[in-house]
Amino acid sequence: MIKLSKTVFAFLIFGYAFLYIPLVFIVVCSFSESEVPGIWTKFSLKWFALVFQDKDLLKAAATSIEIAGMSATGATIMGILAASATTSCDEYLGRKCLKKLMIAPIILPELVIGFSLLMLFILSENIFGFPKGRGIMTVTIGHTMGSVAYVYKNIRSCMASIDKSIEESANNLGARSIVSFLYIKVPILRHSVLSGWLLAFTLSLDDLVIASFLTGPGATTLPLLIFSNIKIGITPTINAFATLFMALVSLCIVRASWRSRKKRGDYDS
Amino acid sequence: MSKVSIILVLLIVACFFIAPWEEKLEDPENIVNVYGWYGIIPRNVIDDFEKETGVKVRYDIYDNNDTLEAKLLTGNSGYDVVFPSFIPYAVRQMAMKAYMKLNLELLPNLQNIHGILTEKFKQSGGSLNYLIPLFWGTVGIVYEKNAVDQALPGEKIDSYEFLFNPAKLKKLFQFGVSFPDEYIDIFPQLNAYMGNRAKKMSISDITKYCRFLSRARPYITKFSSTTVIADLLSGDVCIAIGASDNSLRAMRVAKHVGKNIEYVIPKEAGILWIDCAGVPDGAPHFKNAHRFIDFLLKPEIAARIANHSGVLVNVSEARRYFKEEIINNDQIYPTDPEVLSNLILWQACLDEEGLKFERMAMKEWSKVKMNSLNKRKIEGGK
Repeated sequence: MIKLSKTVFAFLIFGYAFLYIPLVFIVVCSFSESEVPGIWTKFSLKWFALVFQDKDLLKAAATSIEIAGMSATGATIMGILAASATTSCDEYLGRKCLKKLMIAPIILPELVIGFSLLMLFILSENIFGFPKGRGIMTVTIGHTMGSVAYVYKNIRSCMASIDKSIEESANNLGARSIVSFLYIKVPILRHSVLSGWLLAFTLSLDDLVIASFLTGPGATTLPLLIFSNIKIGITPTINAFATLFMALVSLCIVRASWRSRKKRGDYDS
Repeated sequence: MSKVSIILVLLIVACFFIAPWEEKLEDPENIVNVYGWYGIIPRNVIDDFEKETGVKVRYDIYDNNDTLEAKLLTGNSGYDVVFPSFIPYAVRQMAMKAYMKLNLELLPNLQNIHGILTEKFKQSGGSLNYLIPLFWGTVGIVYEKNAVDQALPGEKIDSYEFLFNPAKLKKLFQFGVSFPDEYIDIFPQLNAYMGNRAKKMSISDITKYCRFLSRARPYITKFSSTTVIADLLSGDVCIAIGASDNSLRAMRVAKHVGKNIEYVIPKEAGILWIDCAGVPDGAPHFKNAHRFIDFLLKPEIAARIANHSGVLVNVSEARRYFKEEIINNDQIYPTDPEVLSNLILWQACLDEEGLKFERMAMKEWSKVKMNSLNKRKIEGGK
């Protein structure tokens, strides 16, 4: 173990300051009465009240969460399938190639994903009549495509570390493959699946580029709305909304870490 | 393994079909999909439209004209009403047949629109059969009076001189000078300043003007169009080229932060901008789109939009409902017919020559921004 010297401690402080000062700034500003974001006049909660009156903002947030939830679920299912295909199956032709191809979307710029999907959707609409127009569905498909590689990476590394003999012995003892999958693999993979899902959820929640290509009537996501705000000049309502969002996320993190600590305590005893 | 895979595949497929893709609408035909700027049309206007007609509005927003253009030109966007900027976007999109022919009988309130502005709109290639010139404003000089008074005591800002003359700029430099990001927001002004307001800019003018501008370049502290308000309010800049609606919003806030922001249409010529309302090709709710546009043309509604956002609406009778801050400020809301007809609406050229001009202007303007014209001069001097 390295002892926490003064220099290391100073770097630590610098690192955390670098990460958190902008966020603290936003939070402080959200309590300012000033009409201009970023200028402190006096304490006020009026922007928080305005958040709940801003129907467009709330609707965009709901749309974003809906899209993020669906695309994260889709990406996770696809990620599990792809990870099984590249790790636990017997050797087959092109396995290595598939493995590499799964990662490709990570290095692909979002701009390319968005534009190519848009072209594809227009083509398929002209030929097959599906998808009809663009909206929540097309954005979800785009986000699923954008995040599946990350989920796959996450799950694959865990799946590769599973001792194959456990599953094999279960099969030798007469368990059908589905039973051994559900009772052996799923419990082991639980955490990486969850973290993959959360990663995909986050990626979808703050994506602007793919969404701006694939959005349609009734599908304005939160990042699109905030970005469009710039034209008018960002209002402190956004600050207040960001503060609420951060409070919610911190609450979730605190709760999750509390629970996992309690669990670990159970194992230890 | 194979069974698991099949189940999972089925799950994915189910996920895509069962999920609530679109919000449940009571009557999918009785809606109108509006795609517009953020914050121009206030929420209560939309609520009133829904109450009056029973048509549900789905309001989506875009952040710039290019996003809108991409949606329009790829076709079948699903939107019923859009609000593109007239020059150079809407006029170009109209030529590419991106808009449906309007049924003017469904727009009884069209008689309310302002004569002079509509005349200018038509002269620049607009056609009421496809586009309604709905929102307008001017582009002039917006400045923070306290700082400018300090830099140039006793001088009245009323001319482009203060932006283009290096001697004046030198003094304003310490308080910050902001220029627009795009050449299109600066060349019309330059053309007018050079005394050629009636003349169309030619390609040889571009190089001449840019060389002229490069002398002022060292005193320009910022190139930005979107952050003008914030920069003025925070004191980063003291003078900028700005649109009237942005300036009005800045004035509203300025009192709270101890600034004194003013807006002026320069004496050489103000620049006019128009945002249109159009119905994109393939719009699924043609009739409702007309009802929505017609609703915005009502004087009382038009005034509510103007009072909310500072964007003027091209409806003459709306002035009866304007707030005092608009009606009493003849720079923000010019009513004098002479001033109005003097405003310049930039001409778009869609032919080969126009494209060449556009490319050249973009290239030269980016040279000005990078300050490379000056550097070359210094190197040559050596």
